[in-house]
Amino acid sequence: MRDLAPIITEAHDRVRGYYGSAIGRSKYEVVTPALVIDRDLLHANLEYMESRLPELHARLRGHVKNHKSPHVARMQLEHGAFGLCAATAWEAIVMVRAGADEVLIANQLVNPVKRRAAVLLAREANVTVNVDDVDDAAALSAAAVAAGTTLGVLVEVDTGMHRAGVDSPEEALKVGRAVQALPGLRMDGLSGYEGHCSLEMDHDKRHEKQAAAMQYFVDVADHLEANGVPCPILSAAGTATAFWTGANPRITELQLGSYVAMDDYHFLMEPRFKKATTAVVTVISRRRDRVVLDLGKKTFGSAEVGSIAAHPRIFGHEDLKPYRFDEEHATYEADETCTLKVGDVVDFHLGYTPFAVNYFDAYHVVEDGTVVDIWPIMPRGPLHGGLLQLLEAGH
Amino acid sequence: MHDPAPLITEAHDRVRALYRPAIGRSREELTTPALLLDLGTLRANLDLMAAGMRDVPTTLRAHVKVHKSPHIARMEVEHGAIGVGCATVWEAIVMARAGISDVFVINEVVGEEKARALALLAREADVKTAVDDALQVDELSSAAVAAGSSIGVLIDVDEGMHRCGVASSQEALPLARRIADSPGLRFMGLTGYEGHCSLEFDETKRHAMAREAMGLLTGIAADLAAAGLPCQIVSAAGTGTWGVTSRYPGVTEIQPGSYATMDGHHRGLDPRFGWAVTVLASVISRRPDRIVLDAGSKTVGASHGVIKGWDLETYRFDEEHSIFLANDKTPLTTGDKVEILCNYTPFAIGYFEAYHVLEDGKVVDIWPVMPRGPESRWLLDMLERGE
Amino acid sequence: MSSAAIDPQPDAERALSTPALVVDLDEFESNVAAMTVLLRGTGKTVRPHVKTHRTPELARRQLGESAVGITCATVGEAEAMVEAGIEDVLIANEVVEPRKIARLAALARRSRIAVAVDDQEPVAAISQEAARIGVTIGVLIDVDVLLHRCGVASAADAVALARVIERLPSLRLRGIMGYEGRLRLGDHDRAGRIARAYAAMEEVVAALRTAGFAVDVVSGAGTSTLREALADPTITEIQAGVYALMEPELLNLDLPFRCAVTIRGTVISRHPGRIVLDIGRRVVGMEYGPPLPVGFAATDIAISDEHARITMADPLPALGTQLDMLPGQIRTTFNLHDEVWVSRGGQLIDRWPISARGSSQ
Repeated sequence: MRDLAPIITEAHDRVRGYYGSAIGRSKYEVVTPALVIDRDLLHANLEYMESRLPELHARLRGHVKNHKSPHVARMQLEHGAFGLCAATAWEAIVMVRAGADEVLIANQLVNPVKRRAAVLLAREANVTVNVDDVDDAAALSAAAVAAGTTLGVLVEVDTGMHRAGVDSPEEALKVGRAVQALPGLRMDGLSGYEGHCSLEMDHDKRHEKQAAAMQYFVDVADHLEANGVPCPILSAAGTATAFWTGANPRITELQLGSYVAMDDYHFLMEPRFKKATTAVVTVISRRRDRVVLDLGKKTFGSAEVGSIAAHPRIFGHEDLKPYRFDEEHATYEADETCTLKVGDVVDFHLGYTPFAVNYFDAYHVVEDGTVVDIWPIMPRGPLHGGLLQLLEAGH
Repeated sequence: MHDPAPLITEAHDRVRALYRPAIGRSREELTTPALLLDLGTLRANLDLMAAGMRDVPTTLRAHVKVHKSPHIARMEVEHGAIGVGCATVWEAIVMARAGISDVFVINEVVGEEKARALALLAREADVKTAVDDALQVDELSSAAVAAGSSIGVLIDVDEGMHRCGVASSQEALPLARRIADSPGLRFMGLTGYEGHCSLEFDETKRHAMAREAMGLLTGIAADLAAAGLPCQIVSAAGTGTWGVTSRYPGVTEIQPGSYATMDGHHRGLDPRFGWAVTVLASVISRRPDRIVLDAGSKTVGASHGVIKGWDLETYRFDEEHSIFLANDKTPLTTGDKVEILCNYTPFAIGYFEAYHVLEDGKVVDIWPVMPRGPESRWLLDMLERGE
Repeated sequence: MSSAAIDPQPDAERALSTPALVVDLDEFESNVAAMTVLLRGTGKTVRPHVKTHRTPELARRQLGESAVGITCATVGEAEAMVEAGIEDVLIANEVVEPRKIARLAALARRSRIAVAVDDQEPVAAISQEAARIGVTIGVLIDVDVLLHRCGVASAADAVALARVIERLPSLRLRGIMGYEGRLRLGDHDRAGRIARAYAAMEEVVAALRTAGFAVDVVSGAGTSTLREALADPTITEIQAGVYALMEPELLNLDLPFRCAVTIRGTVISRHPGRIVLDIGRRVVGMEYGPPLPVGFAATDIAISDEHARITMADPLPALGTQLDMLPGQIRTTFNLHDEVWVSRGGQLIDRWPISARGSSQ
């Protein structure tokens, strides 16, 4: 693997400069709220996934959007992932600079600036992009030709998530044929992430939905193959369906991400991966019947994933009922038997970590309760943060 | 106001450099998602509030947590705010460095480093904070003494929000005495944000709830005054109740924030203020029965939002996508830009590092969001270095 | 799951610290295979009861051709098994307390779950909790076939309960279960008790079917009544547990299973005519009798808390020698340990956590 690029090492130095006084100290001495990642649990998750790969038919393409850490992404590559998956062009740039040779932007770009970013990035790595529209494919092609590079393309198939993706085998064929004919593009296959299964809490129903989704996905692939459009790559799976989809001999790559850093939401469904990401918070107020923490929705994001509860709660006091979550406060009901008091620093289950990750600058990396490093979150938030200019300038 | 310090100007220069290509462009030409600030609407909101404040005896303290922009905060002061309200000590540091000298952390500041940050800031600005417990008072006092500064302290009153705060004069009195007797602290009065009223959309009920809350708050102030601890400041109100609270006898200042930038929730409470902040998104997929935007919960925040100008039902918000129901008559197509009106804008702001500032339809500047995110220990280091 | 590091010494078999629980993987696998062979062609399955060993890694290896899921005695056992990745669990016990019902329902997010019921009130509570979190829970009506412990007392009661279950959301009636208990060769009226128990099950099945209910699963029996269960036409799934590891007193039942577990101790004291091993009640379950010597002859064995005093003839083994004994009762033995050593072909190859040890809640 290539070394980490300067943009990563500089960001690492920057956050170490900001928060590094915590290194060597207990996580409970950190200024709160702070995002904590447990290195041992990260390793355990990575090693467990790696240990399961030999029995699965597919390759592992680690998704990074859940943690957005170039350091964690690199660990995914060191533990069996052949490449990475990103939600945006900006994440893809960061991950290539973290050492990835293969990156899939599992999303439609539909924007001249983002397309330009993808085709420039293709100078440095094998870049693949999702497409579900013939005009978008044509625009991608033009951008690739202008940059003198080639982009891999996966036609996105809606296998039940009802978000983006073509709606039928016929449409998939139409888009696939268009991609085949366009210069600067390489028709790599199909993407059919069965994400709607991750919204089904019941184990058996989730399995049924996954099976139906993959059956349809394979049918679409067969339709294209039978009509002169080979699909060497069939990419799918999330952490909640990884082992079922992975056991399907037709699926060639699994694009799961939550398995590494994990969150309460996925842990409800898949207990074999442990929650490596948590927060530390301070009790700032203790009235007779409640306790208030110094984090709210502007830190952990939301207490629901869609309409499903994600249960943010306090370690060691998981029974406390939430009273209300505000912007900067979380209030829980607590009677006199609750031992929490003003000033206590406690661990906090975030509920759904990706929401929180997008608010923070960095992870406090912890081993046995001691802070050992600070890792930057990159890119922060939804803006590109100058990453496009970086590529244009050839850095 | 003082001029903004290097902390602000350097951040401004940095984001301006990063997003320079956007300056001079219209909405349709921007890379999405982008956080948009319309200067015209912002000014109209600030003017409207300033006009409303002319008839009332209270002063205006603008809460900055809703926008976290030193530039917007300065405009708020220019339009008559006597100072700012902050949710954290880090926001207070940023705003003080933006040139605003009266900063009130309307929240409990707990933890050695945060107390120290507050005490150090109190050397360069008129700093206030809220308490509801003796432990907090003692920690603040030690920090102020160590820093050689003086912190103004107000007692947080719970009139129905059931979060922090004391609920009676019996609780407030010993706390007030403790503050008054603590070295490094000055007892300044009470703060009692009647936030529970902002969850009541029926105006008559909401106004009645606000009056009841203010009755409790000013009653405690009266009891404290009678005990020899007069309240120089009695601070309350949000954008949903400011009309009532600003007129209530005994209240000295109001602390609304949302009025400047607005969101779906507050439009339901006070529709006179306009949408100054929106999120620009692109349609990235167009199916016959839906459109998909490139802005989801990790951009717009937990409360989601609606599309400006289009009455489309929400299908689902995922992390990086929002899906709205459409039909074949909806003329939106792949590549189109739309603006999302957030149901609660402060949740979106925290995800961005900058505003694209628009005037007459064109981007005229890029303003930093500061402090970004929840962790800001480096601001304490800056103060300790004497920078 | 991999173990902690083990030094691969040539006589690694004798390197562990005692007292230690050791499972012979060859014998265990042979037992599991023998059960598969017994079931072939019968149309029946086994649902291995994991209370026997409370070790997820052993449970995993019992699943296969004729075993789709496992049986647990408690919610805690089920949690440990599901956490290790097992995806089909029957809690063959009543779950009544609200907190346990919440834990039970939560399991249905991670695994197919079924539970025994014999009363409509907990049934309603389970339904409510399952509906609240968006899952469906399988239900087996527990029938009192012999032991007069849990279970509905009559076919009429079973039908009434089935009607309640049918009306409630988020539940699915899978069938019935009944347990006739551990019946060793020579126990009083063994054949009669088994026959009456199975007749009771048949009566309940008939009544439910007459009332219009599908009864897909008739679950019950155990290792000690395996032959009879295999011959019975009504039973579809056998909740056998100890077959995989075996106990000495079941060896006379003409079953193709061999003892697969030993407790290993060290000679810590030696006097004329006797040795003392560091094996006592603290590490071996005694309810079915004292542990039996393996590979050596003893004229007397006296077990106290930490010691086994073995009276034997010369030549006495030297101090420090490691010797094995057969536990009389497997499940209490496993519940006294945190981990079990795994040996194959005389070599120690791994160490597995007894993750559900102590999981009685």
